[in-house]
Amino acid sequence: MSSIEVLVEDGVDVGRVLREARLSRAGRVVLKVRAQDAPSAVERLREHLSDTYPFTLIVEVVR
Amino acid sequence: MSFDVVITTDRSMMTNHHGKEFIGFFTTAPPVGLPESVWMWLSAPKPRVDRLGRPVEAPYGLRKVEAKLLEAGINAAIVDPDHLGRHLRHAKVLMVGHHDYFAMNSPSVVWWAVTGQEPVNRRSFLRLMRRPEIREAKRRGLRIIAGGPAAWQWLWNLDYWREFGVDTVVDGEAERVIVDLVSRALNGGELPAYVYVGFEDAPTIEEIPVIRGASVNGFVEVMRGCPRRCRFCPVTLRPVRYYPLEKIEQEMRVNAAAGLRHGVLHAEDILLYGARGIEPNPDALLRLHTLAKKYYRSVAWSHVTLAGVKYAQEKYKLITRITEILYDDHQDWLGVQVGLETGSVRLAKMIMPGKAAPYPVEKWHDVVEDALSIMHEHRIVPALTLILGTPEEREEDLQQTLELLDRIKDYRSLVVPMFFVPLGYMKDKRAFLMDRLSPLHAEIMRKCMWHTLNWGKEITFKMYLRGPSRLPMRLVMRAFFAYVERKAREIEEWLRSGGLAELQHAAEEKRAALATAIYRA
Repeated sequence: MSSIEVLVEDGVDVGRVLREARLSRAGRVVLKVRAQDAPSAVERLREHLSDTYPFTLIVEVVR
Repeated sequence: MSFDVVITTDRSMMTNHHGKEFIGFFTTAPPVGLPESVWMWLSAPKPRVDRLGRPVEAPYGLRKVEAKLLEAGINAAIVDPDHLGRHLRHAKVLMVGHHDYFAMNSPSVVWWAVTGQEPVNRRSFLRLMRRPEIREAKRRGLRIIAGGPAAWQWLWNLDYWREFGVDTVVDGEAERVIVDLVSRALNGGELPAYVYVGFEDAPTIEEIPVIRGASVNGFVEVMRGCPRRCRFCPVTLRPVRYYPLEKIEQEMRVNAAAGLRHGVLHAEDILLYGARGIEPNPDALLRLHTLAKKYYRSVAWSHVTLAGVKYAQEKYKLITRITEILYDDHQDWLGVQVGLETGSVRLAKMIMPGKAAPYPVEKWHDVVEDALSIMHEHRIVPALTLILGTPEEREEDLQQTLELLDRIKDYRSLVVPMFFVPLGYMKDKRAFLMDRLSPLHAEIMRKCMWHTLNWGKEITFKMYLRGPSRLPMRLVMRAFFAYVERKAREIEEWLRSGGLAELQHAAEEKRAALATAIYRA
């Protein structure tokens, strides 16, 4: 199962990353977000998390 | 004895609802006309526990997580919320699960929007997470993982996420990811904030463990996924998998060994157990029900579809054959939850094109009436759910729903209106919080109320709560029905004298407050 890891920084289009991951048939996508805590990381990505994906989507906090 | 991993939930879930799963619906409402403590006793009594505080019956989803962790050699147990204190002194991980943490699902959100009061399931969960023993353990480094079918609600409750110190939220079927996450938590490793388990990571039947302890009311899953592909339902996002009878029997044996004599067969459409697409498999269904009766005196279904009932009966006489297996001295009726969803053919085509299959969706009203007639005749009692406020809903759609409600008024059933909640393929749509309430919505809700009250009394007293042991519940329910009928007449009178405009105005005003309270954004 292929896996994609992306560091979400300013300028990264998360929607595009996820659309491309869907097309590439990735098995897992890990989004690493610089944030103070888990809820802050999720808040930053919430609009993208309110969707359905064939792959497993993981949000990690980078402090 | 101590556990490294404690799995729990609040009282609204950790209960057997007096052995009557339908009573569980009362946990989705605020305490109407009764003190909250009485309401909780009525809907969610404390379960039997062993000397360590482990419940004899626990929610099925928690049982699956427990079994997966035990299979991996992790020292885990489900603990009743009243017995957490002594276990959290030693535990390193606390896992919580729920089907409606913050009362954002229907019907909780309906009662909340209509009454303006928080449902008891939400109150109970917040009380649980604010318990001093959890806070104290968190200060000592306890890791908290939240999951279950309502995991998505944490995305809209970030301040509670922060307040309770939840480390990770897991959304979806957890079998393939949970052992790794818990192992990392136990070893002090970094945990992700959020995990959404996609279709590709859905476990195979072999990866799904057999429960190790009894499930609430003998609940046993017989399949996962659903081929009907309704767009509002998250289950359609998962592959269809059938449990073999041997595996189902293992779980029934666990429940029977704990003394349970009643069971619920769980599937999104029970008549599709073992099916090829949507073509029923009579042999598999007859063997499943024969097996269930070997272990349980009485059996209920979790869900069935109306098209499935009509087709199975017309082609194979399956409803007759299955009820012949089930009905005996211990059981002469069967309860089930059924999605009626809408009376609008136009909306049905948009949001549930496969729901009427193999019949054309244009025949939806006939499918509904024929199926309800078959169920009435076979003493199968459906709790029908209707969705109000679907995006793109028009007046003509609501008119068709009213027509359908008139057609089904003589069939024994309950009809519960639910507000649209964005899930499944419609996850990005806007929820309905009464802010677009029209006179037709009010009329549908009024019709549902009287249909449910009229049939509800017959079902409650002649079927559901029979026998001397049910006398206290019957007395409470009689008082409850009398109260609700009086209130219903008052509401009707108020609506006739201009109350609807007032309600619309209040709903507009309340929308912002409700959206903030419910979606916390």
